Amino acid sequence: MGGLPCFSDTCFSSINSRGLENPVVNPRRNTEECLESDGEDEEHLSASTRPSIEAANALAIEHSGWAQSIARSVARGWDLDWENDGLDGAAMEALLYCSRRFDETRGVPFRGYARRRIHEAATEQARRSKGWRKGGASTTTIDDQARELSHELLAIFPEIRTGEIVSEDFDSPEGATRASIRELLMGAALLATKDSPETLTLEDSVDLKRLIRAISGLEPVHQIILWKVYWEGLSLRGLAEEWDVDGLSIIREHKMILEHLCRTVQAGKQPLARPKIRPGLRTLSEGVKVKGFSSPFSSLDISGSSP
Amino acid sequence: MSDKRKTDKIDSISPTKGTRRVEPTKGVQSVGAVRPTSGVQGISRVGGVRSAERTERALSGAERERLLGMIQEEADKLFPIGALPSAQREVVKRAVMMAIDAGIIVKEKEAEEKPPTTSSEGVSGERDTE
Repeated sequence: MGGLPCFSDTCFSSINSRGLENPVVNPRRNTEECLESDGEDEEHLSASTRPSIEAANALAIEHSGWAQSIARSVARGWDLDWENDGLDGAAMEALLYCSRRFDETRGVPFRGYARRRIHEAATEQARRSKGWRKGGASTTTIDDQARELSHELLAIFPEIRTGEIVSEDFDSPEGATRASIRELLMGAALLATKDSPETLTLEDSVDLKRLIRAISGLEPVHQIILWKVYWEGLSLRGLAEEWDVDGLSIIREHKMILEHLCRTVQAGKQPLARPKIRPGLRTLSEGVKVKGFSSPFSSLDISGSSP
Repeated sequence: MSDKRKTDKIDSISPTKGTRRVEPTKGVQSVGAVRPTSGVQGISRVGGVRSAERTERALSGAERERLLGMIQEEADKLFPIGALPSAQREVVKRAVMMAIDAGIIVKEKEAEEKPPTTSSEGVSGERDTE
């Protein structure tokens, strides 16, 4: 690789003077997830496992080009300027932070450890940038809405940040990549439904009602998961904590719900059997039913006006 | 909270009904000889490696184009006319394209040669080389 990028010296000095602040500004949902994902408790990183400054600097220098690639990816996805909008600096700060905190004894490769953090820092900077506020080069309403929606998607599906959506089976019609894309599309559709404008045409409101009806046909506990995540903005892990259940149970249940909704939407009027509740959530589900359940989706007013 | 639930279920503790003699251990009769291993049959793949490999992978420009095309195809299949309001369908499709595109790393030289298709005026952040 080539030499250090021009901005690196500035970043080194700013980081050192501020005492290694976490560059991720908005820890609303993803930080807790990425900390858990590689099993690191950053607050308890002992001095013995912390890399030396020389080793950390070497890591940062070695991976600076890679961190820039992540910043460029974010800029490309959202049609921003990776330098003028400050994504390069945010990515570099995150890289330096990670290089200081990286613990190789945990067996996680550095890139696996740092990628999500660098991506998060870049996306948070993107949200604060002038380019984002101005709407980038393309200023259509649809693009602006899509940009906001895609940011929410990153919070619900943090695996997108590390490119894990893409598997090797590109050309397989039923491949994992396509399945992941369908789930993302359904997730985005739910978010768009939440943000649906009040002045819907009659035709549009009929379309929306179909989706809401599909959701209303789900088990009560599944409806609550969707409501909490998509309408209240809670993370899947946050929900698991709130319910005191295993995080993976919620993540798998969520995936299953989205798959079911995809099949239901594609099947049209033909009713499908609703998905079963996984063992980890059965007690909770029974509790919801005993208490009496009224669907939060019934309160949605999708009346629509004449076109 | 869970502790309280547990203690509520305990009605009473019944007394123990005396103790019985503990049987003494018997001496070790014999120890079998250590046999040689017959060779390792096979090694299964370690689970975490795949995700680490994926994290490293950079897509070519052609792969990226194919991926974006795949999103278009799946969106058309999943939301045919009548499944979602038309404006929302477009927003949903573009949001997924943006999110995925922002998460993949594209090989630098190819990315420079091929302008992206998601935005109308190309990408300003592709000019640097590593």
